[in-house]
Amino acid sequence: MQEIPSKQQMTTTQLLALYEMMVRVRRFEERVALVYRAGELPGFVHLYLGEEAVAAGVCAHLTDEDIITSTHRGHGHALAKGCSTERTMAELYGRSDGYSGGRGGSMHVYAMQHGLLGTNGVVGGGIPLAVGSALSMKTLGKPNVSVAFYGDGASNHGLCYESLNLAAVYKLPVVFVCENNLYATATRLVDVASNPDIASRSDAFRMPGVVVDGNDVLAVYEVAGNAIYRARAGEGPTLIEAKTYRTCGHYEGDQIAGTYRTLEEIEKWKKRCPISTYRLKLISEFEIDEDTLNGIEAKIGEEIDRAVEFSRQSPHPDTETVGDHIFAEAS
Amino acid sequence: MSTRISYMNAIRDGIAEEMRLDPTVITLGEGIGERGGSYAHTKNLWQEFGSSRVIDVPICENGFTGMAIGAAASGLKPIVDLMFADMLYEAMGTLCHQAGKLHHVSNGGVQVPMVVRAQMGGRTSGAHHSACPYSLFMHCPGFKVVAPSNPADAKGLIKASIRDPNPVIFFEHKFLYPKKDEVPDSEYITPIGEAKVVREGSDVTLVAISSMVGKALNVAEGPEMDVDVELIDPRTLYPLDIDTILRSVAKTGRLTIVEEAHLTCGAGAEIAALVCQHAFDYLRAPIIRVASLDTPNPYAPGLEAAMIPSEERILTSVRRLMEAQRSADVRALV
Repeated sequence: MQEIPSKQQMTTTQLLALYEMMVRVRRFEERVALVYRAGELPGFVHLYLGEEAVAAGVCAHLTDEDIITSTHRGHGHALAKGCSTERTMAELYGRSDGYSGGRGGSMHVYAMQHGLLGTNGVVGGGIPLAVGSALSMKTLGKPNVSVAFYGDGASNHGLCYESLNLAAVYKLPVVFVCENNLYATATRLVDVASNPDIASRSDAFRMPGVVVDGNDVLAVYEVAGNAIYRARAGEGPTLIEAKTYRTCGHYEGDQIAGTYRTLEEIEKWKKRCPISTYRLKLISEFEIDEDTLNGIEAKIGEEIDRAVEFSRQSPHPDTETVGDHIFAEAS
Repeated sequence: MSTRISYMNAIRDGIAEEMRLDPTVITLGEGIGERGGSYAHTKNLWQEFGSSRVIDVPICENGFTGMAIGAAASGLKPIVDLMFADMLYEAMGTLCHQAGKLHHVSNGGVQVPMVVRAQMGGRTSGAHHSACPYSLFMHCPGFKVVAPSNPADAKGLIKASIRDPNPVIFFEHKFLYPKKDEVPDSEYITPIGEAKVVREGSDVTLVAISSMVGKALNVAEGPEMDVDVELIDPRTLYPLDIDTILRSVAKTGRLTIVEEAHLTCGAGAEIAALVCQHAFDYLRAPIIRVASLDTPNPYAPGLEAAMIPSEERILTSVRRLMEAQRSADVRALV
C-alpha cells in the first residue's frame, strides 16, 4: 500500500512530471483550437484550457489498472491518464490510428489499456460507469480505484446523486472529482443550484467532501492522494470539489465572454493560470532552474508537432468497416 | 430426461447454474436478495451466492444500471433485474447512450457483457407495470433482444444471454411465470438468434412473440380452425431469424404477426417490412399485424382485455387472410 503522499516529500521527478503533464495538456488543447479553426477536425471540441491542474494532480496517483471516466471536456483526462498525444489527436481527426479508430471522436475516446473508460458525450454519463468499475475492483479483489471526473453541470444531475449513494452504500473504491468551473455551458452554477457548495453535498451521503483549489496542482495532488489512499484501503468514496475555471469558450468557436461572463473575470482567472503559477513556484520554492522547464516546454512542443503530423498522415477509417464492432464475438 | 418446471424457476435455475460456473456473474436488483425477489423469482440465490453477488440495490434504475454497465466493462458479468420492463424507460438513457454503443465507439476496445431482466406484459397491473417495450431496443444499435415463450427456451436463453459478451435485454413475460413445462435435466444452451417452428402447417404463417405463442397455438389447434397454420416463435427479436419466417411465408403465402406490444413500430412492423422486402412475390394477401392498441395499459380487466390481442382477434385475422386477395381493401384487414 502506498503511503499518504505529501508535497513536502515529493521528488524533483514527481514535481517535474506534474509540470510536464500540465504543459502537455495546455499545448495539446491550444493546437487543437488552431487545427479546428483551420477546418482540419470534423465535429466539435470542448477544450480543457485553464483546468489542467485537476487532471494532472489526480491522475499522477493512478496506474493503468486504475480506471477513470471522463466528460465531454476530456482530452486532458485522457492525456493525464497516459494516453499518447499522437493517438488522442488522431481520434480528434477521426482517423484510423485514433484510440477509437475514428469511430469515437473527442467525446468518445476509449483506451482501456490505460484505464480510460471513455470521455463522454452525456453530462453525468460517465459517473455510474466509474462506480461500476469500482464494484468490479471490490468484487474481484483488485487493489485498484476508479475516478469519476465530472463538472458542476453534472453535479445537478440525478445520475450523479444516484452514483454517490451507490458508491457510499457499497463502500466502493471510487473518488468523485467534480471540476467546478462555475458554468454549465453558459449557466452560472449559483443560478441553478440551491446549494452551490458542491463538496458539502457529500454530507447527504455521509462520505468525506473536500474543497480544493483546482488551479493549484500541488493542492490537488495532495487532496487526491489522500482520497485515493483512502479508497485503496477499503474506506470508501470521497467527493472532491476542485474549484477551477475554463479560460476558453464552452466549445471551440463559442464566444469567450460577453453574455454570461466578462472579459475582466477571465483575465482575473488567467492571472491564476495553474501552469504559470506552478512554474514560478518550482523556480522560487523548489529551486528548479529555468532551463529545465524550458527544456520540458520545448520537448512538449515537438511532441505536439509530431502528434499533428501523425494524425494528418493517419489513414481515414475504411468505410467498409462502418458496421464493425456492433457486437463482440464470443471468445 | 426432463422435469416439469415453471418458466420463472427455469430462468432462476439457469442463472444459478451460470453463477456456479462463472464467479464473475453477479445479479443486482430491488429486493432480490434475502427476500428472493418480488415474484420469488430469485429465490435462494442470495442464500447460495451471498450478498456480494446477489445485490439488493436502492430504487434508482438509471444509476444502478449505469453501475452495472461500468462493472461489465471492467470484468464482471452483471444481470440487472428491473422487476418490471416499464423500468427500462428509467434506465433508457444509460442503456442506450452507454451500454449499446460502448463496443462500437471504442472500436471494439470495450465489451459490455450484461443481461437486463425485464418482466413485461399486462396482468391488470395498470399503466406503469405492463409495458412490452422490446422494439425500442431492436431500434437502438448494440442490443440483443430476447423474449422466450416457454420454460425450456427461457432457461436455455438466459444461459446464452449471460455468456454473451454483449448487452442482452431479456424480456420475461409475467403471465408466463407460473406456466410449467418440461425442461431438460442435462446442461444445454438455446442459441440467441434462432427462431423455432412451433407447429408446421401449409396455409397460414402465424409469427407470435412471447406470451402470444400460447394463444396462437390455442387458435391454431382450436375447434374452430379449419385451415393448416404454421406457428413460428422468433424467440430472439434482435438479431431476428428472418430466414425461418421467410421460408414459412414462401410456403404459405399468408402472414399474421401477433404480439402484445403496441401496434405502431412494434416488432411486427419490422417483420412485416422484411417480409415485404424479401418475399413480396410469395404473398397472396396483405400481412396482418395483431397487436395491442396504441393506448397505455388500462387497469380494469375488461378494458385491458380489449387492448391486448385475444384469441378471437387472432382467429379473425387468419380467416381474413384466407378470404383476402391482394386487391382487397387493406383497411378492412387492420
